[in-house]
Amino acid sequence: MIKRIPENQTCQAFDPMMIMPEKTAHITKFLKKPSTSCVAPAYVYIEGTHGKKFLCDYHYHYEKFNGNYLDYNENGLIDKRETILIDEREKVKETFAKNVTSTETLGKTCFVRSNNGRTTNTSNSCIAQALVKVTDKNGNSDFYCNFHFRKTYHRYSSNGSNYEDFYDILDERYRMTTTIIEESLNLRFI
Amino acid sequence: MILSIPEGQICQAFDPRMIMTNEVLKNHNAKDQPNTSCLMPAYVYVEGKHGKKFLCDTHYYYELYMNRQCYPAPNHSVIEITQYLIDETEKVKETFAKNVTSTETLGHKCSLVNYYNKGGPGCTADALVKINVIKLPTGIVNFISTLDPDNISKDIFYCNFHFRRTYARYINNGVVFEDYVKVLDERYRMTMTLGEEANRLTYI
Repeated sequence: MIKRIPENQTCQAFDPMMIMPEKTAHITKFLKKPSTSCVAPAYVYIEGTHGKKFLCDYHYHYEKFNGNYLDYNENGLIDKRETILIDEREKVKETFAKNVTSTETLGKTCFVRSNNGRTTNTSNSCIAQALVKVTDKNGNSDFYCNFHFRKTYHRYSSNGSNYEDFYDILDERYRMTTTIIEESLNLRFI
Repeated sequence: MILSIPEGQICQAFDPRMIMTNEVLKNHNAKDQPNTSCLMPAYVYVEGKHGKKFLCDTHYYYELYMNRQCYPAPNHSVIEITQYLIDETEKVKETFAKNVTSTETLGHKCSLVNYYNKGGPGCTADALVKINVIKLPTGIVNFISTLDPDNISKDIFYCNFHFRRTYARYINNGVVFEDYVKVLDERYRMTMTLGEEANRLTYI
């Protein structure tokens, strides 16, 4: 019986959405075929309709969100049939940068939107408060909420790349006032 | 320790490919999102880097195919996602139609085209199943991507793999496939194993 997430346990999601160009357009400039595995640390363990697996905070929410969203068939609703045995998502906060006092992300919202930022339709975009600023080598900056920063960051590591090689990160997540679970429940777009 | 696939066990795949955009749903006059779970019988049990789960033949081979095609994240090779495996996929052949002697699919290829890369290589496998759509189920996504809306009863050919995938997508969404589609199942002609067929797929 599994009672806690083992140290160094990584996510066990199989994520075939990575083959879709719009999901990885921003990283395929250096990769031909993105990975369908995830190497992010696991924070959740579930057993149920979709097997037994450890998941990272992003893939757990992605699977759960889509199960809720479908509302078609009981087999599509992991809320009803999956048992969350272990949920350590609040430990994500242990990864936040320490000793930061800047407020550059204040008043900004997460820039993530459908079609990798190409749409102007705000119903398909994240409106969460930004907590992370990333700046590429040309000086162009984007802002992320915690959820989408982690999703993007680990998409790089799952593809054998180091995010910091491409971006400078200003991590102001010390300003996060919600819990990790509250943040995920308030997401309008993932 | 699991040593065989329990009777009645269904697939445990989570299939996010079924999540359609609002535009697709509108184009198909679909009321609901398709099901992201799978109700097909399980033929495989796998333990490894992607967890412990029962899978149908289609989702198992799909996962293997994608892992071979894509960049394998560190320690996530096919070997590492199938560290323990029970493979009963040959039992799929028990579902093939019996007492069929026709050869209408002979000389035809699977009709699956390349959806993600238009004009790219599709499935080049020999066809073993012919279907003719009688009518389209309403209110759900049409999973027959090659269907000509102006001539729905036109012959459509499938290899075993893509027939089973199409069939499953309707079943998973509450549609009795045979109520809408006339099926000529000539898979008695299949000489390969399920694994050999999957390994030779040019497009999935």
